[in-house]
Amino acid sequence: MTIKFPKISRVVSILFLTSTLVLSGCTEPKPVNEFHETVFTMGTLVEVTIIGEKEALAEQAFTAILDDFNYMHNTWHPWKYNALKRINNLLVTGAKFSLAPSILPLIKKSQVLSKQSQGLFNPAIGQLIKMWGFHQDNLDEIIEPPEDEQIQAFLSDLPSMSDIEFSNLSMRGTNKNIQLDFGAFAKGVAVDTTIEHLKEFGIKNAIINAGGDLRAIGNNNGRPWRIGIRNPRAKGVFAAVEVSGDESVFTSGDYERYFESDGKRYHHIIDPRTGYPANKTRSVTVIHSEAGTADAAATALFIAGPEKWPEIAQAMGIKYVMLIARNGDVHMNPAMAKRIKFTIQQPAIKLSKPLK
Amino acid sequence: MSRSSFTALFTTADKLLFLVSLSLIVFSYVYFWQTSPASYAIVKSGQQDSRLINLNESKIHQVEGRLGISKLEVKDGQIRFISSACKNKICIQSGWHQHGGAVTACLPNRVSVQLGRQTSQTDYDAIIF
Repeated sequence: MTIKFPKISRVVSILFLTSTLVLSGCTEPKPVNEFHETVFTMGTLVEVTIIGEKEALAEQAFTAILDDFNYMHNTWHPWKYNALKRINNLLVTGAKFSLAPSILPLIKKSQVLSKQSQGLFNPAIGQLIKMWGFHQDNLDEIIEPPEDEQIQAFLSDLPSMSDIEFSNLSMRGTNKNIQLDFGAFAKGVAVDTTIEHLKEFGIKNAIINAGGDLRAIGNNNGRPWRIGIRNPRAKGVFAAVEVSGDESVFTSGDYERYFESDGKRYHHIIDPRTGYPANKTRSVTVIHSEAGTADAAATALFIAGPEKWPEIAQAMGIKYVMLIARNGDVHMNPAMAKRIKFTIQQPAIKLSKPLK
Repeated sequence: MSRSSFTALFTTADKLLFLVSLSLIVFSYVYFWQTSPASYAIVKSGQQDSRLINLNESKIHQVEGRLGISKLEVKDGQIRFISSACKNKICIQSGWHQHGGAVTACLPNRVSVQLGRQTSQTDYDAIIF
């Protein structure tokens, strides 16, 4: 007995063959070497992922950038005795002193970013941050918010980054309240520095994720890096974004460092205009090429809040922003809206005008 | 082209082939492109050697950290901190974690948990917060 199969028409045969050949090109390439290491440094958990390199090279590069992180942590730490502390002690005297090479790049870049942000990113308010009790490793100690009088006295002579003057090889402070605290910038600069160091090793595909803020170069085995964004008020990931080439993704949130006093929560992002924790925003996510700029911008836009953030983002040259307001409204610019993929039911989005 | 002459272009086998292809596409999407849960977690602390935890085995694990003991609960392929020797308990508030590539930690107690990836194509490469 012969079984008679129905005939497939010539048109469909050609279509089927063509699509099979085209789709076979979609197969993901074979996985390549993946180096993944996690370490505590810079006061947080740093994850380093390197793709497509020999393990010995990845290990060598990882050891080198771990030294970088430890050096920067020790030099820029805002409340330990180090190079930054020495500068802070000299700035309040008003007298000239010799430039400090280990801190100078941070000061110079911060002056530009602070001006662009209209002073919302202001690393000169270290004294105010200390007043709020955030100059300690963990917030397990009992902390009381400062007295309002104390805050107003500080604000009456608010220091800014332009209160540091340079002449030839010396610098001086021109405000007795100035104390540098690069808490909103140092992590970003450290990520930039270590990514550049990885590139010097010839590494082309890597992510450095420092406590939930990262810079990614290259790609993951031919596809973009997939970055999940954790929900600021609920469990799990609520959105994802793909990055490739060389991009940083930084988030500032009111849930990162805080203490509670009399049942009220006080977070660490202090508005230099009011002297109190900024109260219009839950979180801001920024994508930018440089991690340092993304770090500073995330803080500035958090303080700017839902009305003012597009103006500040534009001035700081930021092209992708998502801001979750205190009331839960999700704001973003159109370019960011095209990149963000929600993993939960998509919320209503308040789109800003395009950022140029 | 009228509807009847368009339909005449396809044989019964064509229609069967379309149906099989469509089912294959739907299956492939669901199987390969959805975020898959992690199958294991690497737990590190400054006080003990790193250890690998199977997320398919419901159990409570104790890890000694800088300040004291952190307890991790594993259930239904997920992991979470249920107690820790820190004060703010942010690690506990972060809740369950199940995505491959996710990392959670109790920073004061220096205990970190890194969820393992099953394949390189289904998980997040990093999670930001």
